[in-house]
Amino acid sequence: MGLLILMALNCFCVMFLNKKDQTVAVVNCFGVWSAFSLMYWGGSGVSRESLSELFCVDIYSSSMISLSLWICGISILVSSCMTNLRGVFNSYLILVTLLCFLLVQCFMVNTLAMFYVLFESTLIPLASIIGIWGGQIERVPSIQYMAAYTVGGSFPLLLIFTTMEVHAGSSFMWFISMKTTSLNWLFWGGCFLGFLIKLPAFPFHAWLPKAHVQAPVGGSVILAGILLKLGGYGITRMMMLFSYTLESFGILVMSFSIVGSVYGAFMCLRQSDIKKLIAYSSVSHMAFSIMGLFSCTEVGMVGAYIMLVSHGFISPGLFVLSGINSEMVHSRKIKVMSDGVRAAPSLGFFWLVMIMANLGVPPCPVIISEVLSVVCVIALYPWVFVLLLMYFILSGAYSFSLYCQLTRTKKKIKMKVFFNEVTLKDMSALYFLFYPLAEVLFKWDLWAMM
Amino acid sequence: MQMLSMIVFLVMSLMASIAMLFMSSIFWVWVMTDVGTLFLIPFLSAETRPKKSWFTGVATYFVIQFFGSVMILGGIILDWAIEAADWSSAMMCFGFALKLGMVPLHFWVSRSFVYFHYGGIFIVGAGQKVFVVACVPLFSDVPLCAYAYYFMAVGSMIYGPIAMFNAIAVKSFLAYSSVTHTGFLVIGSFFGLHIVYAYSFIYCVSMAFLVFMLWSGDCKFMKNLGSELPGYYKTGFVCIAMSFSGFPPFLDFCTKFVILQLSMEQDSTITMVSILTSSLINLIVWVWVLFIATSSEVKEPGFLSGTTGQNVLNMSCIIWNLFMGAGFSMLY
Repeated sequence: MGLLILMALNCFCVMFLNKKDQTVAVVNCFGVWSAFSLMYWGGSGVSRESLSELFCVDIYSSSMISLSLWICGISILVSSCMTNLRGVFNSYLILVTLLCFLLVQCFMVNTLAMFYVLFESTLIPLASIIGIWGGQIERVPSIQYMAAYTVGGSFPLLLIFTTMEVHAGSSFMWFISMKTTSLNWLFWGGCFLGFLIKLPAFPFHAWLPKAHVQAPVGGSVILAGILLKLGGYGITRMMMLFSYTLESFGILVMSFSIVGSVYGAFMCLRQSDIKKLIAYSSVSHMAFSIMGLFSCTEVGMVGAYIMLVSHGFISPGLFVLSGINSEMVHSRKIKVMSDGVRAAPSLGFFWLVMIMANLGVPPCPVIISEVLSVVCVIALYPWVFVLLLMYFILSGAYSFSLYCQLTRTKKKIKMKVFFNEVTLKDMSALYFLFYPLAEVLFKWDLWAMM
Repeated sequence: MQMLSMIVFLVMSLMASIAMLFMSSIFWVWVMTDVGTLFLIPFLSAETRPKKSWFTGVATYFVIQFFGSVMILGGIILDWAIEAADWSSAMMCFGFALKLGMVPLHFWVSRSFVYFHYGGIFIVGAGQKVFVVACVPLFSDVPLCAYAYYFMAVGSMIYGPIAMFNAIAVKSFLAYSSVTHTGFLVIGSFFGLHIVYAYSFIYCVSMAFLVFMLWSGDCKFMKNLGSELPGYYKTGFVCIAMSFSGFPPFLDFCTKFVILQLSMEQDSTITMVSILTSSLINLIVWVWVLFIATSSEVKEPGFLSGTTGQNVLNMSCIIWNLFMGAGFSMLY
């Protein structure tokens, strides 16, 4: 509650600044709020020290809150450098701050009804960002896809919490558990469908590449960095509320995820659009989170959250780089972007670092997550390792192919770049993404405190 | 003078409709409904710029309402003469359904609305319907009629948003929106008249805002909505569109949620599925409308850039859609 009050008061104060100071002020606010949110990480874990009866936090919600605040700040930082944000930039600040406010509340509320309302409400600012600052006319169908998938998929969840409200009188989701011993597939499908679509899980991933392609850089940063993680958080809460013994339903979801990881990696190989490639890469990475969550083991849960948090920093980093690079050449085609890398060689280094982080090369925490998730899956059925091996080969292949295409040295008669230097200000967003990754590496067992 | 006469006839129609609510006999209900309809004819015919098209709309509306009234009267007489309860109820049920414009008797709604002025669209599409819907519970003890109304309401809820997608004219779009909401009203009548009154009030106020904004821009075609809608109303229109899309925490989500909750208490699976299906299609439609409305080739005047009255209306619309949902949920 203190965090929300601080956010509201800071925003009120920022309104009175000069327009040119507002961007810096808002970015600084996000830094302060992120630091404030670290206070929730300490203590005994579950905390009910709140001024309100509405909020509860534990390590899962605390980490998501910190991630939200950090990523939203990065989004504003990177967008302030972009020239393609037409219109009034203040509108973007307001939308991102509103979105962050909704997300923080979403990760703190203690009733399923409020969680659902906030979960759906986060769609509005994002749809507005894509609609206002999206580049092409296809942004309209992309928003329709995103809205239809997300809202449609969460209708069963609406029915579930309505049933709770009607029959039990409350949809409070902490410290209670179901008395029924067996829950059927229809029920589990209704519980998890909306979150699986949000993550996005194969085969419900079709909306993500469309949304990413049409969104501006800041929108993609937020979408990949935190909005997808809503799905993982929701799954955690539903399991906490109902049951950790999903059995055959969990195995089915894990099977789809394994196929999805291979499918995502294969699709990455075929992409020529950098944003679509990163989107499909997200699909294959989120598959590991799903495997970890639905394995219903502590090891799996730790692996899933490492992936969720790490991916929350790596994927935005890739989008920041793609935004800077595509601004230089006014194209998202990978082959054309190589001109930009040749004009500003420092970009090549950063691309290498982010691609390796995305691939899961140690010491990036993604490798820890992948190992833990693989352990959980193989414990169920060892021959799954064949598919996972395919995934590792394909992910290596697309990462290597991407780097080669970006840094190819084939001479051209004329390089078409619109500017040929990248300043510190342009890269500041990227620098602020490296530090939290290091923190995750050193504190990867944080989510094991159960 | 013409405005005064419009107001006079409107008030008389409203008085007749209110009187209808207090009638205990089906005959007097029919009388008051018809009186209310008759007083609407001059109101609908009034045009500041006379043109031939108004005649088409009003004539269509009048013929349909007349035929519906004939069916109702025929049912009353049949019941009085030979006491054929089921047949007479079926005739009356058909008459009221025709007046309401429920699927599959909705063919006249779009044809009429296209030729009405915006005031007429609001009165016929929202104002008049809420009174006629109050007659639906009269037939709840006749299984044939109850099931007929139920499935017509389900059909209206699902068909309406699909037809909205294909609307080229704004007035046609409003016509099918009216069909959708009529379906929700009739479904709500199965759960109690208090739901009908609450939903009607919310629907009327929301439609009043929407229709006023569209009238102020003299909006004709959906594709030109972005350029025709005044810039100072765009924020309010965005709020209405988000509300009608069904996004929480906007108002329309809360009202549909209440009906969903009631249908869950009654274990009515078909109702729940139809509400969710209708909501999903509605969402896609209104996202499309939102985009058309917010796209404009010229730089528009921004928020709070109109006169005081226009700004007050705009802010009222925003507050109504954004905060009344929470208020309604708490009150209910």
